[in-house]
Amino acid sequence: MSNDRIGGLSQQAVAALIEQNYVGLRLLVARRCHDPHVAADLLNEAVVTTWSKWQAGKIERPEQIAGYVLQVTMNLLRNHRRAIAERPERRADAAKLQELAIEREPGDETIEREIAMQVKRVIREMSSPRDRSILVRFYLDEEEKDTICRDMGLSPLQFDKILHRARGRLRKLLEAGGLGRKELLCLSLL
Amino acid sequence: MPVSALIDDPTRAGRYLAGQLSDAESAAYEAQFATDPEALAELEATARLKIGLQRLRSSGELSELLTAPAVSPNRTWMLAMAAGVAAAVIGLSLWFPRSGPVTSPVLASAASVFKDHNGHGLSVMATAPMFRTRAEKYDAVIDLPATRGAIRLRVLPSSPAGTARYQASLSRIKDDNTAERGVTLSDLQPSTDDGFVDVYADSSLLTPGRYQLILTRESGGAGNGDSDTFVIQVNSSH
Repeated sequence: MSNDRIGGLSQQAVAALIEQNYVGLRLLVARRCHDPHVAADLLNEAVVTTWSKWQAGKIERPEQIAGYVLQVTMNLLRNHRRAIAERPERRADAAKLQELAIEREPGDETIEREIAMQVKRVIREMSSPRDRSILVRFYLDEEEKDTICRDMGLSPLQFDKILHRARGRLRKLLEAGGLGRKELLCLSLL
Repeated sequence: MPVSALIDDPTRAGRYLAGQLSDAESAAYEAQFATDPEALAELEATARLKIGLQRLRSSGELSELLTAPAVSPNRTWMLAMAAGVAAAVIGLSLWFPRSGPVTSPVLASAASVFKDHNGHGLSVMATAPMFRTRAEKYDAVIDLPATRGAIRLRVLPSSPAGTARYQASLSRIKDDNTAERGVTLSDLQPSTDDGFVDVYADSSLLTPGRYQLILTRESGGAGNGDSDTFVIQVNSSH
């Protein structure tokens, strides 16, 4: 296999593959960075780093190249956030930074709206207001599982089942083509 | 928590993205990305869930959703949708501009209705998803493609129902903000996958400017007659 291609993919194609198939993670990274350009830089750096590892023979499963890239991306994001938190000249804490307005690419607005519609469907299909509340507290407010279980009188197993059902429904919606690869290609034409 | 216990833990992706895993747990989980496509899919689905929830809270919809009545994703809806596909293909209602010669449809419920000069169906050149929002000036912006093609307009009813039938009307908005006489498609069914109603426009018959698309529920239970209006900005090709 040529060193400038992995599994028939070029370096640019790997970046595009991440962009198209892992848009949720990319958007989340962009939100955490508060700047889509910084996020794009992180992702690009992750692709380049992964590529170097491949050329050095350090990647065992080239078919899982996306996993390697995202692993590096999440590492870079963690380092980026730590670097900001540790800057001596910083005036605001990390929690305050989270509340700042987030700059977004125009195309991301459309994608986010479509994702929100899918999540909306998942929530509307949940019959119990309690289950909906759990979804929000855990995934959005990032409260600890133990705290939520204690507040709502749930066993850990009940809690897991609720999350499992909701997430399974969302994955079915995603896999049914609501925002799959083809759809994203279409969106990019707009 | 032992690292091994993270396997099959339905909360791990959420806790990972929330920064609630220890360094060792995070490292073990991240190592899975390169070996287990399922772990990556789980993480991506969780990321989208978080993005969607953040978006719904920002738009002010979340609190209302938490108390809204449940919508059942029942099987009869899926069956009705599957059975309806044939009817949709056979019973295509074409929408023609009434002010000009009736030679070609502007809007159709399938892209294949539009034919090029060789009689071949047009390709879908772009997709414009539309759902109600208070934040944007336009509900969709369409850049006309350089070559003729079909534009897929994906319209989400504000109160979707699997058994409902919809009517879609598209008309151009004049400079004085009144709408020109438009054309209408009837008996449209929402997608079984995501509830969107799809209609297709022939790009060669659209001109730059503003259009309004009105989606009205024709039948299918409570809410008949309810309509959603979307404003579309059509730009010329670059």
